[in-house]
Amino acid sequence: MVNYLNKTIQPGDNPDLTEERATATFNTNDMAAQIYGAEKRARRRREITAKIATMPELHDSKPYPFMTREEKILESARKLTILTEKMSEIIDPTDAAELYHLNNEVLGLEGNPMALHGVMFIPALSAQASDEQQAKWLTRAVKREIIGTYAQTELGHGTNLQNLETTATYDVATQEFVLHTPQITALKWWPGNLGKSSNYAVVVAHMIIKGKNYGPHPFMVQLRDEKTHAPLPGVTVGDIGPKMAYNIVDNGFLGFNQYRIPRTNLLMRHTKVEPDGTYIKPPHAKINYSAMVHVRSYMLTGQAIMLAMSLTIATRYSSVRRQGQIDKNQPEVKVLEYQTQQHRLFPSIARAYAFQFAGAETVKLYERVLREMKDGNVSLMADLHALTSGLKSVVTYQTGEGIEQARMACGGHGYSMASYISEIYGVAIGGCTYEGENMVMLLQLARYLVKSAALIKSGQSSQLGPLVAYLGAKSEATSLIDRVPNSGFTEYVKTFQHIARKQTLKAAEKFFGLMERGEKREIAWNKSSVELNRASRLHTRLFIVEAFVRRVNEVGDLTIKEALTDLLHLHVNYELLDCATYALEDGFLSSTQLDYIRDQVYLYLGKIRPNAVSLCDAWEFSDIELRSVLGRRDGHVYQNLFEWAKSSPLNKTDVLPSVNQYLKPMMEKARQGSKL
Amino acid sequence: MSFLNKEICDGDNPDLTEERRTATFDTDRMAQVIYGSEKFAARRRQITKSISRIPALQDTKPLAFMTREEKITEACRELDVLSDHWEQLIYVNDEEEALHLHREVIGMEGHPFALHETMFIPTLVSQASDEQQEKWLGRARKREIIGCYAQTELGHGSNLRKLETTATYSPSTQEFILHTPTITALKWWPGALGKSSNYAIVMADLVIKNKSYGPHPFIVQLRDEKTHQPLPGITVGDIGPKMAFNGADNGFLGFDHFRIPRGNLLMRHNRVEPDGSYLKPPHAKIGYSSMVKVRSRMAMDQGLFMAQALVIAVRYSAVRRQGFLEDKSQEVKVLDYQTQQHRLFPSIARVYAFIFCGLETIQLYEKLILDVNKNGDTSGMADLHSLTSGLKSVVTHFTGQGIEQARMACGGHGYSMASYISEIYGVAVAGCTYEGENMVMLLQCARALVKAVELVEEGHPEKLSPMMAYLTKPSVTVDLTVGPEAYVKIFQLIAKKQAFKATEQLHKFMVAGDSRDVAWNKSAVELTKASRLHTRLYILKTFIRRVESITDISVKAALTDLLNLHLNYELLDVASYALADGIMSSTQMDFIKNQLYSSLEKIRPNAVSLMDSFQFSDLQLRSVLGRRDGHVYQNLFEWAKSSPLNQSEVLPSVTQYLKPMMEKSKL
Repeated sequence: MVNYLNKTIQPGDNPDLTEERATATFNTNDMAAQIYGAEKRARRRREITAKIATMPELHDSKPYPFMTREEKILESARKLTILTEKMSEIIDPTDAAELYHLNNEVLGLEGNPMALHGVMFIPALSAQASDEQQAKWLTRAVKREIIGTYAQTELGHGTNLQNLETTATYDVATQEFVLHTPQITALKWWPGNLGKSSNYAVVVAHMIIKGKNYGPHPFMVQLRDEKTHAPLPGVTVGDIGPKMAYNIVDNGFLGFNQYRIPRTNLLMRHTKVEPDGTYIKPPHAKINYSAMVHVRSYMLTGQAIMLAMSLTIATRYSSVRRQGQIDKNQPEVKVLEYQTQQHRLFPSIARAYAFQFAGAETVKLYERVLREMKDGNVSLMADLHALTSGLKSVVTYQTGEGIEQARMACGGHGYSMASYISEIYGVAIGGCTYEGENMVMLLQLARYLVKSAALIKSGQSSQLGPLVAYLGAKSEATSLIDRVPNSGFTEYVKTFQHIARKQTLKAAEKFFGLMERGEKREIAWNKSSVELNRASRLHTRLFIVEAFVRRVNEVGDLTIKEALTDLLHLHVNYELLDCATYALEDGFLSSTQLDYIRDQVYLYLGKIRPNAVSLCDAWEFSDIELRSVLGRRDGHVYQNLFEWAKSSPLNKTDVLPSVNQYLKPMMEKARQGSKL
Repeated sequence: MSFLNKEICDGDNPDLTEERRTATFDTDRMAQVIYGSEKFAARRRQITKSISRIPALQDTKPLAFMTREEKITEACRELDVLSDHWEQLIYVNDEEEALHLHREVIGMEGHPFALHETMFIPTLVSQASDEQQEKWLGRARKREIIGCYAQTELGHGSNLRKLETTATYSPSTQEFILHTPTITALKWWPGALGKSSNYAIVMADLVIKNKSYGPHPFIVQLRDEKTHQPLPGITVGDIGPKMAFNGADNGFLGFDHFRIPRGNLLMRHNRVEPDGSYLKPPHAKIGYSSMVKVRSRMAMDQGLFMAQALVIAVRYSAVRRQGFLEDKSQEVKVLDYQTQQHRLFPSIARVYAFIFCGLETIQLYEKLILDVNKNGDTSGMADLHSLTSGLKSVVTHFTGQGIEQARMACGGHGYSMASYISEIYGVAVAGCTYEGENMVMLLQCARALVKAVELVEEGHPEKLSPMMAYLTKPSVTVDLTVGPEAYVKIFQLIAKKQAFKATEQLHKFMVAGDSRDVAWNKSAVELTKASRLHTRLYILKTFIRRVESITDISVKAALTDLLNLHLNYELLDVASYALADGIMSSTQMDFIKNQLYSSLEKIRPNAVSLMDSFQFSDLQLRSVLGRRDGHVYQNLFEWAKSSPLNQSEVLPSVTQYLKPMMEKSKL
């Protein structure tokens, strides 16, 4: 067999797909190394995938869309227990990236009964429990003798910690905390795996000692009997019901009726309560962004992967699906030939890469900040925190958009659960809401931008943080985008800087102006918030463009660099066209330049066309991970759609109960009536 | 006490009552504007009231807790109850009343009769000969048989000429032999085909003596009338779960040399004689009138979907409190945040705009059908066809967007099925794909636009239809402060500019040597942009026309605020076109933004009432967050407690796997 650059090709594949792969101009394994950050990472991914393929007990026993929630949870628990035993045969369990990949393949996107145990419960114990407490609980948790979760949000209260209503009142006489849910809005609501699977939880509650409220604190609470798994007396716990997606997770509710726990269940690494009720504050009370920044940084690559999954499905299917003719004398064409289809998919392919690169850079920045913090340098943390707030918001929004467009690009079959894209959408779009609602996130970034604008206004540009330094620079009079054709991407970056700067200063000016005219700060802020959010989005999109440019500049392999450069060209032109209003408004961009940008978009759609399938293949998702009939590697879509449908639940019987109970009697009755 | 907002009841959540008290108009009067007439708005309320008195018409449990089988059974049960109460609830022959009844009782997730009424019977009416109608139509109407309409195939969507299913005539037996030659030829997607129907109209390529006559409709029995088992030679089943519409059994269907009598070809227009001679209809075809009808309705249907999502989100936003503004003693309603208003209010304006477009296109369609029947004048139909193609695409896209934003505006609880918004989204967004995929639709609209531009360029502007007349308007400078007409002018200028620009690109490629088809594909994205602007201009103008025609002063004032929001929001959204061509200045941009933000504030006190005016009952909304009484939290808790996973304290997953795992770890 010919040695193709695209490593996905196998004999017997749908020739329409092989034809696409044969035109790849780069080696897909090498591209995977770019995507996953290192040759070793990409290789380990493939090894893990290959290993899983040989373990049938780790494969879905039937497609998830055919299962009820109970069945999905059961299936997931089945695989979890196998993984608990065989984990170290497959991955290095201490490697977070390997674990992430293993979970994605075996358990899938829809969650699992111990999702929070690993990512919230154990980290909370590690960070907040004292050494004695860790000796007592952490080891048990790590060995999975107990299953835990983290319960913070309440039915009536989201992210606003100060307004939580659950109380933990200290009883000096018995040296116990009394946990209580004073009213219905105080019920813990949403925590993952709280409903049915966990028997322990770290619960955040307002600590009250001798009538004084010390604010929210974390408590370790046993919820269910370790033997019977029945809820303990005084604890009301259950599942919050079906959701748009994530239905394998038993998000739960939790209420306490004067439920007593020992004093020592307050997690005491930082704060302490003495037996007599004396409260000992942590040595320095600082805002701890670090966990949030960490989660949000990883969200970006998570979102990128979900976007890439749906694009893999849609792009493969688009080269297998034939519909309509471009030239009336030729056979039906692959739908990927249509410019409208390319325009639907390719800019999102570019975004998937951009988000992945921006995510990787943020994770690196985060690690650097952690190192610098040890040396007492905290300046970059605020910068980074603001940036990740914006990134979280922009990336989740555009990912959702891109996934839905990918689904629609698959026409009717995209709507079938056989495509699995709607499930990916449901999971990904959850990211617009969790870990900080998107509007709130944009306004967090805006707060930082306004602070920066104030510095500039007062002539202190030199104090700007490194990620916002451009705000203090001067713009050129007009963009030079079409004047210096070989300038790389500098002119694009400058244009993005110009519009982000202009909108930031304008929105800040609106806010300052309202206050000068007598509005209270909060009111002025609220009245400026839509404009402020626009500034945040532009700042974030600038960073994404810059991260993409930086990354492509680092690539050594020429064929990879070329393919990525095409994608980057599409990206900068598409994104700029999308925010052209800002650049046209003050004449920074002319209408001739706009025409140039538009032509560039169409030019690069054409250039990317022969690499489109390979750019998606390079993410190296296995069929097990994709869980999509439309996105199968081999491209044999139609036969397998039929098989999938035949095995779906409604086809287990020829005549449904609805027919026997209602439709047949109804028709019989009508026929009898006619005979009379 | 008599409030202008008629939804207020004692015992409601005071946060919601407070909102309703600030209404500046009578919600019953607004309902008349929404539903087109005082009579229908009143009938709607009566029907809702009658339904609420029949407990058997309520869902036995939330649809979100049911499997597909259970949903289908539940819909059948409700249909069964309905058939006993039909005449007592509605005027039987009133299509609108029947629609409303179904929306309330069955909901939007589909049911086994959906295609029987909307496709099977209408096709028999329009395509079956009188003798054939005698034989089948009565039976269908009396529901002795259940039918559907099977056209699309696994490998083929809307491209009729590429269908692969064949109906080959056998003169010796005077039968047609239906056959599915390859897997891609399987009928795929038709609603109610999988499990419920025992008959179907099947579109197949008619082949006589080796000559193909193209797709024709056949009536085919699929299942035994007694046992409901598929007949020999027929493979039929459900295509599996979908993003939404899971109360419908969309199906697949294959034939293995399945024979039907010659008389099963629907012969109102074409005939096949016993010897195999084919008789063509007198005039080729009446064309696309049924498509136009369906698409005319879609703007209305989509508007109502979006309205449901917005009722839920706006009510919930008036009940949910989070964060502080000025007053630090109580958290504010999230509806007080400008970002929340900006998320919801422009969609409220679009809902009204789409509803008005729906009312207008439906009227237009009915008028055109009269013209066609009276004097054979079909000229207007082509215009309406291109308009509804564009409208279908723009409206479904914005509706999907608006519904998702409404869901996200509800924060975490929006993500719960208790909000029901994600289900509404799933149902509505399918409209982007069915009845003509949106890109294809936009390009159909573009075809008419390009033709019009070419007429202008060839010096025949007098041949333009009224809808295209703006393509000849000269550029002028526009003063936005004069009111809505100025906005129309700007929209006309940018729509015109883009239509000419896209056409110019098409011609440029052709001059450079591309065939028209290839040049068309290379210009397709620019062409779709032209179609969108053309369509959005129409939506804008319809909104203005409608508001102008209103006589009730308070209703008119409230809708004028909404219209102002719409004009400014939409123009801002397409501002890059206007800026690029110097049609608009940066000062005007600032003006538009200021107008936008002040409109949001103006609408704020009427927001809940503007949505209440749709008068959706709690039964129809099926949403815990959107309850009329605003008692959200207690009912969320009740809903959750009754959900399937809480029927047992310890799940099988724990007993079978997690408990043993923990036990083993303890050793």
